[in-house]
Amino acid sequence: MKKFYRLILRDIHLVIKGSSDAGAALLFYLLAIIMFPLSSGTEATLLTSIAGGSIWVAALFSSLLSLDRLFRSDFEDGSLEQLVLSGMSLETIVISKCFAHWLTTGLPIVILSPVLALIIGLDFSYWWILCLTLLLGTPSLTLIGATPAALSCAIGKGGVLTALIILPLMLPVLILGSGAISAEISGLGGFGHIYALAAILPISLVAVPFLASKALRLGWE
Amino acid sequence: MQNIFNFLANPSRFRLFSQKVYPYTLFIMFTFISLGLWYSLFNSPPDYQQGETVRIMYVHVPAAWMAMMVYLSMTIMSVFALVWRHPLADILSKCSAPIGASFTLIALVTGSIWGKPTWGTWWVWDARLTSVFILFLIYMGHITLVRSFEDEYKGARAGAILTLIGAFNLPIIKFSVDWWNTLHQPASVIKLDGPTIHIDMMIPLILMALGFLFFYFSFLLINVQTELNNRKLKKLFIQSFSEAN
Amino acid sequence: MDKNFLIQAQGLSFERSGRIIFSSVNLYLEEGQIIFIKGKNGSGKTSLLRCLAGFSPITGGKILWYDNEILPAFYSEEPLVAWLGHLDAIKGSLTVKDNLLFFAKIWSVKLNTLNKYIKKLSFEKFMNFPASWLSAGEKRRLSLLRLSFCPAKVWILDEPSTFLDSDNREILIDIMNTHLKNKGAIVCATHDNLKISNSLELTL
Repeated sequence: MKKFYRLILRDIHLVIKGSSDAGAALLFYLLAIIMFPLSSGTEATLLTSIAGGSIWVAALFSSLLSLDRLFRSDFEDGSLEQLVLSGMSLETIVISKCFAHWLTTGLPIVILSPVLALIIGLDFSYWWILCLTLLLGTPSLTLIGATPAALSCAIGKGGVLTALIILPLMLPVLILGSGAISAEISGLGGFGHIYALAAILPISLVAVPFLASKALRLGWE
Repeated sequence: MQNIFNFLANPSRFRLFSQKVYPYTLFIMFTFISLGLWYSLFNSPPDYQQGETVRIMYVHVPAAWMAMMVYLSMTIMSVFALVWRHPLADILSKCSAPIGASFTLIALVTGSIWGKPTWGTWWVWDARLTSVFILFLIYMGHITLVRSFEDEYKGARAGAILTLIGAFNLPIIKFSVDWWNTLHQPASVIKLDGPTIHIDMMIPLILMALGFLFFYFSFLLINVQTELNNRKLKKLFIQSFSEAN
Repeated sequence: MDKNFLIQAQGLSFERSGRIIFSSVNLYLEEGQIIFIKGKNGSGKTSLLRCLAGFSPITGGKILWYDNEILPAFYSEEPLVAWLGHLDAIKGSLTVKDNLLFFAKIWSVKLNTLNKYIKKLSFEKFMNFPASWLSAGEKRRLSLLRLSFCPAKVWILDEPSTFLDSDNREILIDIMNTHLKNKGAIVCATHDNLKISNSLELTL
């Protein structure tokens, strides 16, 4: 348990020191959101109807970009090997890196979302459902993306291929997350979507460490 | 059963087995598809609402069944490959992917063609169509991933891992018409209380489904032979390199 | 059983991409012993070390660590092996001190033990600088420092003397001898001729 926290602290320390691009991912999130009103015109009613969806799409893309290097730097400099030999199981390492990634990428997205809801013209009385879906969805996005990130270590290069694999897997989270917001706004009630979204998190939490460890070991072979 | 697995686990024995067997499966496939086409085009009734356009169903539904069935078998093979390290399982999974992707594409295209006269639209983003489209994307991602490795052994194993992640999509496809209000019609054949479709429509459906199933078997065997031959060639090539050293 | 073997490896063979890298390799490691793995380039020295630690799966044979079939890379509660490979596992953006402290804390090494080794390898003056400022030889020396305070009994070293000048080579030999005297054991793959007593050789 102690090692788990130490690893998370080290990863956060690395983010602060600037060796990881979490800050850049957050700025990308802001940029991506701005693109929607810029490209679709600033007519208020149109923006409001796509507001929830566009925040979700932006969250997806910024997760996508930052997930590629989730394991890569530790894999390539040999730190991952040292960690595994230090008495931490690879599954624990996977979960701790996902948690650190979420704390530095997903959580800021959740915290910034009310502000961004204002910018993009979402009806502000629905800020709570936006935050709730992002809070439940961003950890799943990190977890779902962890296995393709591990596979990209095994390939040796990432980039477009990782994105190609991650996106179809993330689509259900996107559909449920933005669906919850539209359902709530249209009065149908978003809680069905929220429950389904909430169910994805424990399932990924159980399945992903096993699969991501297999992928990392494949990279070591 | 255990003995069959162990017998076929040896790649050279599997190659001999598939060389002998695939002509027969091809023949069975031709038989079923010919019978199925005859029945579906000439010997089955037109739908009381849709008329003759319902005959696309006899290609669309079996293709969709196969799209899911191939992925399901890939999932099972991936479990064998990762948990028990069966030497042939990940090759079978790798070779099934293009076949499954083709079936998915056929299902999507024939479904779209069928949708235009019946629903008035080529496409709609309801739960069933979206999840099948996601399945197609997962197949394409799998095909790309497996071929982007230099070492094809690693590529096949990576494909097995990816298959398992994407397996969540299968129950979503199957139950999407029950869980959501969809434009796509609910299940009429594979249901808990038995099929509700008339026997005259059932026969061509089953015949085409069996034909497609044997299509899968035949081309799986052909693909596996190709893959095994490629690996053997590469092995010989590498050996000649190390002898040159 | 008279002797307690730390590692027992019998009849190991390893294949990659359909090519046999090595076969019928036997290795038995006891306390206080060092086994040198020698062989030409490409003979599989690194692969053998990685198989022993559990990073690569062997295609034939059996490996036992402390009579146990579970290899260190799969599961161990405490560090079973200290690994020095080609990669140095040093985070450039952190200071030298932070790099060392991280490992000291996850290996549960006391701070005064850590300081003792820092003094022994004369690294005090580098402590507060970013690790990326170190040269290749200094980074290697840092890895050696990390190796020396690792509480594991077995060391697996892959070409440890690369990038080291003659002074640092002496330090390396000194550390290795101290470890062996403290009932440790080493498996070392090297081209170099490291003069250490009580050594066995295994040529691939």
